[in-house]
Amino acid sequence: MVSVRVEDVWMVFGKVNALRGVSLQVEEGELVTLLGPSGCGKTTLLRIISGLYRPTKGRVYFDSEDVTDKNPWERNVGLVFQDYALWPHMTVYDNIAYGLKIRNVPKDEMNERIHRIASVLRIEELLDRYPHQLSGGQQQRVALARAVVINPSVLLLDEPLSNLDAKIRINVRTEIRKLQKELKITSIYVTHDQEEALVISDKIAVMNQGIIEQIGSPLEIYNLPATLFVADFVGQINIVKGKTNKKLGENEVIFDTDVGPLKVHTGGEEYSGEVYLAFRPENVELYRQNNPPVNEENVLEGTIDTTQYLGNLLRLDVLVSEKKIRVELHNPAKRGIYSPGEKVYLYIPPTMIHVLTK
Amino acid sequence: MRISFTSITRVLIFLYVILFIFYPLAYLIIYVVSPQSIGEVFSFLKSDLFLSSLRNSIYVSILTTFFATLIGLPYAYILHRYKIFGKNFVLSATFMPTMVPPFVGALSIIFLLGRFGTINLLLLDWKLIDRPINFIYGMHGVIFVQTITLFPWIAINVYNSLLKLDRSLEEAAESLGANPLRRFLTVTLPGITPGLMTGLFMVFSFAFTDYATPIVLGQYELLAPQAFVNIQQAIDESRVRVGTYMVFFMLIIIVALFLVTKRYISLKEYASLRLPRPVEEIQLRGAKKIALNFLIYFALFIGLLPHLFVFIISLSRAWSFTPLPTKISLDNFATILHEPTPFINTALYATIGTLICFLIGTFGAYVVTRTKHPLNDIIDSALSMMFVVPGIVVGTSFLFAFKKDIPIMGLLGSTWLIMPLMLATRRITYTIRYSYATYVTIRRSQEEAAYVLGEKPLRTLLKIVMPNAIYGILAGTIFSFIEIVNELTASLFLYKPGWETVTIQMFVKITAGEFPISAAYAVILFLTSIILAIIAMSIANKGTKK
Repeated sequence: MVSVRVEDVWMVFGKVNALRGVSLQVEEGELVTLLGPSGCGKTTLLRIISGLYRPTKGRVYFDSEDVTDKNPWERNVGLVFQDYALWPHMTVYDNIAYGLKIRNVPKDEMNERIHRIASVLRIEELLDRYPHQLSGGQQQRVALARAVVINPSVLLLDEPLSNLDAKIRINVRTEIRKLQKELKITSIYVTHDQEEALVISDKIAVMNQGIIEQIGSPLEIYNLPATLFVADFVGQINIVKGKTNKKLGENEVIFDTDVGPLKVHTGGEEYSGEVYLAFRPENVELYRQNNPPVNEENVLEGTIDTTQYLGNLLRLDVLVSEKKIRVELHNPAKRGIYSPGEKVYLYIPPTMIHVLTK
Repeated sequence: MRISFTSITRVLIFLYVILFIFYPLAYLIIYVVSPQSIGEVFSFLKSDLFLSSLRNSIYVSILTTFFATLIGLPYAYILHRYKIFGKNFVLSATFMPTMVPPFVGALSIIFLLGRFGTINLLLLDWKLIDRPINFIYGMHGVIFVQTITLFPWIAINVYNSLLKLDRSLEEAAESLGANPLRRFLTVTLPGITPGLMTGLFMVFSFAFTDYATPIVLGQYELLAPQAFVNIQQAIDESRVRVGTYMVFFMLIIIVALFLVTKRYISLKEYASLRLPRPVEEIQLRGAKKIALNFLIYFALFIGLLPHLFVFIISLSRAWSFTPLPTKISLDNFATILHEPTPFINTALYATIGTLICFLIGTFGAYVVTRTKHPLNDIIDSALSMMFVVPGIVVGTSFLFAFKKDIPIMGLLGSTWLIMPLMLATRRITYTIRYSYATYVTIRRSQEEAAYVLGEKPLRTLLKIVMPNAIYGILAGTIFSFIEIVNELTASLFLYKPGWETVTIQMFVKITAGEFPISAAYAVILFLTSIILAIIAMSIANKGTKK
């Protein structure tokens, strides 16, 4: 196992800057997710780490060794492809054995290693089959076995679950994480699915337009997004523009916003000029007119615009001074019926508002 | 830049392209536009000989193209749209004549429609006419023979386009109230334009540059036979030059035509002569069913008739003014098998030529599809271009560019090796296109998966790509083989005594008046081609099923 360090990597395709100065540190045994929309450069970065692309500028290190100029076949990485890339003319066994044969692993040891990984991934019965006889989830596990069996320095996974059904996706996702923790493989996982990233990662690197916007634990990424993009991409969020009105004390500032003045616990930071106030829908408290909130600050009056019933939660868009504020209520059965047009009060706790400047 | 197998392959193939595609063509062009000859060229352009031959050639080619379209277009449309009895057989049978050189058709037609051919004799016997009708001697004969031998090209290309047509587009037009004619003109026809234009170009190009058919029919007042006779007989230097100018202007006209039709023609597709699959068809009833089936089978019969009649000719020993031979025997086959040189030559040249095609198809197509390099485009365009360069141009340019007095090249030209090299160059497109089509279906990630597991590129190609690509490449290679075996128009320029191939021998025997001998060669050629084509198609299908 190694640690992976990416230093100021740029990648230019013709006139397109796919990566614009990306740096990343992945510690030994850690699983880091590259999360971002399509075209953000996450797959490009993964391919640079695997050696399939050579960066236009910048270096890649495995531990202290500079591998930037090494060919993919000289790097000892495990790569799991989005389309699995199993070879159709070989059995499952031969697919998994391929990398071991290249490494001249003795036959007995090879056999033993293949059966061990096959039993961990529950594909032992499939070893004699051909890829086209397998289901998608089985193919994905074979691809994983093929990548892992060589004891790679780094395991790279390129959207490995995007071709699977929702239910199988959750199973395989759990399996990947379990295997990764058991074998303590340094892993880099590319996905555009924020839920997948939150569940599986030690750290998440959120990418956008060729740069990393924020690196942090899933908790930090969700609760303390560093930029508007991160806030908006990971989970749902309400954003209103604001301007400092007055400072109340060390930690509290009142901002003027489109929906009225909002008090925010800022943690002591100073803001000048225009800022963005972000708060998650599940942190907004909703009150009916006959039961107004006891707080006086941060209470907004609005009208329900639309309601979406999602079973375990109710999602409401509330119009406050012509701006839509999204609210999510858990356990909707206990709350009764809300209909469009109903007047309601919203309370946004000052501790739940996050100030962003970019 | 590191030295990898792809960069070595690229350089080797580029050298091949320079040596066997660019050099001969450049030689021909420079020969014509050089300061010594350019004055002569201008006076040649104004000569009666050139102008009248050009007029005749254009007349013949345009009418041939017109009639071939008149048959081929409805043929393809009916075959695609309606349930026709034995459709798969009809499709394969339509495809077969396109593999054999058109002059074989001319040979049969002489026996069928000649002054004392089967039809005239029958009409005389039945007292319907007093004197034989001149069906074929004249421009009309050339047009007739070329129409019936070339219309399958239109049919096949249009049919290929029809297969790609989205049925829902037509249904959308119908649902908006378009009647069938309006729908055909506004939706269907634009959709099949690529196939139709490809077919039109090919038929015009063949008709314009084929010299064998007119010569067999005794028509010399056309550009191609004029050029051939002037160059090949090489009576004196000035006539060779005149012939060369004719070849040059034929090339100019074909290239110009290609540039005009180019935006409709998909270079990537037209060489993939894979037999398409029938789609949703309309069931026919009653009179319409009989009429449409009759039309298709009648056209097919006319298209195949020359090839069927060749069988009868090949078995004939004596005809003494009778509609059919009076004596049937296998003597003609015994005679040709007694002189095995043409067969040995054909087998040898075709094997070497096909091997070259296979290697370039396998490695060249791989490099072009899998790597990025400015040379790739040049290689790709040059190899594709060979599909549109007429045989007469290839033959002439090789004849000159590899003649004795040129150092090194002359040495190559004085050995028979130049034959398989020329044949491979002329027919490479089939293998290349099949290889492209095959490589494109193999996902890059298959190879990348091998790389990251530690496999180097050459071994990855051999162990991962080839097992999956081999069917497609082999199918293309067999088509190249068939086309090499059937090549005449370029070989006839280049061969020296002792290098005769089967097609050359056929032509020589026809001009010597030994028609039944020639027919026996044609039969063997036709049967071999059919068997190989069936093998190629089943291999191609095996590849697509996997």
